[in-house]
Amino acid sequence: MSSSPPIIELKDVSYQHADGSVTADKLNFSLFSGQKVAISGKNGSGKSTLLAIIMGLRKIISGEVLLFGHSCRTEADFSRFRTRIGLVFQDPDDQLFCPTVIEDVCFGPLNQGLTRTEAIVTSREILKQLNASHLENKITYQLSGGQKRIVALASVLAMKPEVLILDEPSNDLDLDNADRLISILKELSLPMILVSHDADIRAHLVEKEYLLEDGVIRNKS
Amino acid sequence: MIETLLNPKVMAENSILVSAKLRVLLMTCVAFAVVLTQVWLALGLFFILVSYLWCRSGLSISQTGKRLLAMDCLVLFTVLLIPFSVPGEPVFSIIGFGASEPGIKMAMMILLKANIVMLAVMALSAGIDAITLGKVLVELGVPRRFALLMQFTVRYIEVLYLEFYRLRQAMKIRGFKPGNNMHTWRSYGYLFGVLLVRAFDRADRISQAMRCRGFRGHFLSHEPSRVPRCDFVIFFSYLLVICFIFCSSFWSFNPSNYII
Repeated sequence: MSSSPPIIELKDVSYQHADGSVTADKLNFSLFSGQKVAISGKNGSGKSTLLAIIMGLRKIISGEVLLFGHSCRTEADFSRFRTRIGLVFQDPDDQLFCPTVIEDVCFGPLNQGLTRTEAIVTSREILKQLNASHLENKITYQLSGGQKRIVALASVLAMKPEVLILDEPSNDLDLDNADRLISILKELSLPMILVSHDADIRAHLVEKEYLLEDGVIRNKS
Repeated sequence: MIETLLNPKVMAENSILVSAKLRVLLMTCVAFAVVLTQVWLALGLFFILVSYLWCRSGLSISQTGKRLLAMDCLVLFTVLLIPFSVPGEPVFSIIGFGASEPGIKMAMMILLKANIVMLAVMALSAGIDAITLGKVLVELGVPRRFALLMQFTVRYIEVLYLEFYRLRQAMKIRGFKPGNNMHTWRSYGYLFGVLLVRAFDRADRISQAMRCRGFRGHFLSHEPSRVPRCDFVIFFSYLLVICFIFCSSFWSFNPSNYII
C-alpha cells in the first residue's frame, strides 16, 4: 500500500473482557496515511473496545499495538501519541466535561502545552471552521444532541490530530444534523477510522470497509 | 441549588458587590465571625446586617424560605440532642432524660447561627454561577481538586438526573406504583444500584476521554478575574462593620465569670 509504516497497526492482538468474552482474537489491522476506513459489526462485537485498545485504554493480553511506527505497551508509551490521534467518543456527554464550550475545546490544546491565549485562538478557529462560533460561551449540558456532537468533534480537532477515529458519530442525529456532520467530515483530509452502523455515513465518507466478527477483522465484500 | 448555580437569574445589578471573589471572601468573614460570637446581642446585630444583605440580593422570600427550611430540618436533628447532653439544672425531662437550661440556650444559639450563616451565603452567592465560583475558589487558594469536584458535580448532576428520570419513566410505563411494600423498596434499591453503577461507568469513560486529550492528572489554571476598585471600598466598609459587631461581643466581657 505504502512504503511508510502504518499510522495505526494491530498485530495479533488478543483481548478478553472481565466476563471472559473475547473481543479480539489474534486480530490484525492497519491504517495507512491518507486512508479512510470503516469498521462495522454487530452490537457487542467489540467495535468500541477495539478503539479503546488502539488508544491504550484497555490492556491487551497478547499481541502488539503500534502507533506511528512505535510499539506501545505502557501508559507512558500511549500517552506520547494519544493527542496525535483524535478519538471522538460515542456519547458526547462523556467527552464534554468542562462547563463551557470554549473551555472544553481548549482542554486538549492546553494539555499539548499551548498557552491559554494560543489555545483560545486555535479553539476559536476550529469552532469557526465547524460553523459553531456562536456556541463558544454556551454551557455544555444545555446544548442539543447535534450541537454536542459538533463540539465534541471540535474538541478533538483542536488538538490538530494526524488521524481521526469516530465512534458512531451519527448516533441520535436527525437527518439535517447528520448531513451537516457528513459534509464537515468530508472536508477533512485526515485519515480516518469510522465505526458506524449507519450505511449512509459509511458510503459518504470511506473508501474501504471492514467487518469485526468473532474477534477478527475481515474485508467487507 | 445547582440549577441556580447554572442559571443565575438574580444578577449583579442589585447585588452588593460586583466581584465574586470579594463576595466569597465576605461570606467567609461573616461565617467565621458569626460562628465565633457567643453573645446574643452581637448575633442579633449580625442577623440585621445579613438581612440587609439579603434584601439587597433580590432573592425571593419563598426561594430563601424553602432553602432555609431544608437546612433547618437537617440542623434540628443534631440540635435536638444538645439540651439533653449539656450538664445543668433540668428544665423538663423526657423519659428520664433531663433537658438543661444551658443546653437549650446553646441549641437555640446554634440554630440561629446556622440560619444567619446560610442567609449570608445565599445573599452573597446570588448571581455567581458555578464556573465563576470554581475559578474564584481556586484563586482564593482552595485546592484545585475541590474546585474541580464542585464543577464536575454541577456538570454531571443533570446527566445523572436525566439517567434517573429515564429509569424512573421505564419503571412507570411498566406499571410501577410506589407503595409501602417489599416490591417498592427492592425496586428502588435496584434503581439506585443501577444509577450508581452507571455513574461509575460514566466516570470511567469521562476519565478515558480526558486521557485521550492528553490529560495527565494536572489541570491548567484559568485567567485571574479583575476586581473593580469601588468594590474594595464597599468590601472594606462591610468588613469594618463585621469587625465592629464581632468586637462588641467582647465589651460585655466580664472577667469575674472566668475566675474559678
